[in-house]
Amino acid sequence: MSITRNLLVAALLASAGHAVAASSVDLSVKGTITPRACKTALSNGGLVDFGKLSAKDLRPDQPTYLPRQNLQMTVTCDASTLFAVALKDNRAGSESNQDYYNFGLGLINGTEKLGYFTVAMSGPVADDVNVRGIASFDGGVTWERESALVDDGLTSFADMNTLAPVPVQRLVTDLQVAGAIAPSQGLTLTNEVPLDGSVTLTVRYL
Amino acid sequence: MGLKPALLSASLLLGANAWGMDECQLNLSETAVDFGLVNRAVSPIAAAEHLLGERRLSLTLNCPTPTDLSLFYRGLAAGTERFQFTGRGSYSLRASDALLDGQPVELGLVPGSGQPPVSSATTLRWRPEHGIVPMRAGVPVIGRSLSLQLEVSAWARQDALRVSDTVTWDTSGVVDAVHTGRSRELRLQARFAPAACTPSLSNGGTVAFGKLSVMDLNADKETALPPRPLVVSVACDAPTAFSLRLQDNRQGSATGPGDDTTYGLGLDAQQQKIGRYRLVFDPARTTADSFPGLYRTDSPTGTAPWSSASANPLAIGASRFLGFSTSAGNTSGPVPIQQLSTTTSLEAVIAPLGTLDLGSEVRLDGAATLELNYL
Amino acid sequence: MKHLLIALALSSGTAHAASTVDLAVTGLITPMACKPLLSGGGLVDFGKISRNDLNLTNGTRLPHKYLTLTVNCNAPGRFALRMRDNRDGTAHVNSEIFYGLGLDTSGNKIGVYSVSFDPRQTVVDDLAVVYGTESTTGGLAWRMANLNPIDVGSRSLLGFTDVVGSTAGPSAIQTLTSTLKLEATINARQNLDLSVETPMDGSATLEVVYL
Repeated sequence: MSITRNLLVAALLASAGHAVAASSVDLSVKGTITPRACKTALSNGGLVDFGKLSAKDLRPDQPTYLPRQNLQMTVTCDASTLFAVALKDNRAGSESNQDYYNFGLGLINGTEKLGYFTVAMSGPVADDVNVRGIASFDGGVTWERESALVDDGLTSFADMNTLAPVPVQRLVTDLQVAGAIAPSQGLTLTNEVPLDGSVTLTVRYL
Repeated sequence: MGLKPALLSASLLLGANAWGMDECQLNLSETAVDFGLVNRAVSPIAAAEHLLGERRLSLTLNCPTPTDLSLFYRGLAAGTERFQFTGRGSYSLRASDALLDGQPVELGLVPGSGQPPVSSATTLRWRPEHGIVPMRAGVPVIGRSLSLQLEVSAWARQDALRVSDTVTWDTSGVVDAVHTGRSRELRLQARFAPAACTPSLSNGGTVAFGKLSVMDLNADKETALPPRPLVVSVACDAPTAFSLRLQDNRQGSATGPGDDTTYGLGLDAQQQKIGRYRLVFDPARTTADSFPGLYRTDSPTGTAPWSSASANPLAIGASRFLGFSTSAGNTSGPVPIQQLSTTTSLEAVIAPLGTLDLGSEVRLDGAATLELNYL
Repeated sequence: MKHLLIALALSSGTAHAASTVDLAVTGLITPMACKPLLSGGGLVDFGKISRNDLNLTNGTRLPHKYLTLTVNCNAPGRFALRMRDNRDGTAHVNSEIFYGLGLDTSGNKIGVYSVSFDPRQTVVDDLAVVYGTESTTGGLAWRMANLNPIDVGSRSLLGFTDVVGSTAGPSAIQTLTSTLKLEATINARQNLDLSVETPMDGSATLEVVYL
């Protein structure tokens, strides 16, 4: 009954000339609630410990690269799901070298950038199938090949030779965490200085 | 010594001969019984007749000598128990508390003067064509004075309550003391007034479109404005059948094909028509009393024939009287309703801006009168 | 002597006049024209949210979203703003400032959103400061103008004036730019059927009301 009514009204308006209504603007609020749920897990509680370094072992005018540390990341979903992982640098602005995949290691005395670290994926496997990493910086509209976990972007997984995210139920990947200390001549190292990097991983549903 | 009483009685006898039957007196405590203005605002129980009321009066009949005090009531009969109160009503008389010469008596119902009573009791329904006579021990008795109570009850047929003009019922009968030559007229009255219904409109009857920007109106074709709701309410003091129609007070100013259901919005400074509007009634947005479903019916004259009651919306017109019915397809017209509330839709259309003089103020000025007619 | 029987029914007529009530339709065509625009085409997208990330027994507040509204008029004029809900009846909290997000697959109300205007985040013409005011009487009376944020509503009018404390309503404005904050809350998970992909579908129309 309401359909007939709406058609009738539309016919009346069409013959009369619909109100131009330029004095108004439409607002749309969109989104989707998905029944899918994914959980992320990191081995070793997500803790990467580079151990103790002596200040005199640091290079004064070049970055000092730290030995790679390994972690494993698992993302488990209740069913096959299109998702991406978003990383948020909780020490944003403290990375001594700005790049889309560098994360901060904290500040000395509130001003000196200690260094940076990166997280690269190695051999991601989605539901027992090898996949490769892809990244998007526009909220998931376009993707490019990328094996590092990116800051301020989304990291997802595609079939080899493609760039579109594939639905995954269980993703397992090794993570290689590489770090660098900034040239030591710019750092105040009279006291013990902790490497303080912190990143939060969140699942984003696509 | 013995002579004196004889002389006395002789003189008394002489006195008695001087009295005639004309000297009896028949009185009613009221000669007019007024049931007043009948109140229709009662719960609409489906009774065939409505009791207008009961009134009491007393009757006295006094004669100088013991006489047959039989009384007859002359009135148009309505059946065997009641009398006619116009063609659409009736009344009854009940006699009780009879006293003959100060002593309580029974009353007997006689089918004719001198005939034996068909029943007797202390309280008696005074039937048409029957008389009442004082009785003792089953035998009619005569006396000099009779007093009794009369209870008058009146009824009106249910359909008599529904009037469109004030109506007064006025009838009378005659109490006739046949053996005395005395009689008295008893007058009965009742008044019926039509129910009063008051229509009202939401927001004081004003639909205000406010300021409309030229940017929001088409230059070379009409612009339909968003429909506006207008609640039409009718409150009656009792269920009443009525119809509604809308008269245009801006006749001749409506754009578009001249149609009974379009109303004008006035003229601009160059006497050009600004636009038009319709008022659409929708049974789906209507409630009346506790009816579960409503349908609209219409008539070009406000009387039969009425269109088949429909659930579809309909625009009201000057010659399109609208009413509500409770059964789909019914053609008997609007049903009695006490409280009506319907949300109508006012659909306005503005003329193409190109046809208007925008150099002066263009003020929408629609004015119409919603009229409620009793059926 | 018997009297004649009389039975009369007299119709003494006081003609029952029809009852009437008057209808008036008013309006004014004005040359004033104000065009509102929202940034991002007026689209606010919350992306995909897992049902597991929603609270079970309470509503879940989504992150705030911001939009920019610009209103450009062809001349300075008095106007107000109001927003109509095109998903009327789907807000799970009933209020004129809450707008619906549609229904889930079982007909449950998904959630609400509100849009607030902040006079401190509003620029009008070349004024340094503007104050916000509201009317619940269709423009007949306005409350005292101040700097408090105002949630736009479907019936109340919202406007701006350059006079603090004014009860005269909006002042004449030609251009207005304001940063709006949109706050959305999803209904408690236990009130929803989220067994399938459930789109949030909010739609409202912000309109300029000429005064």
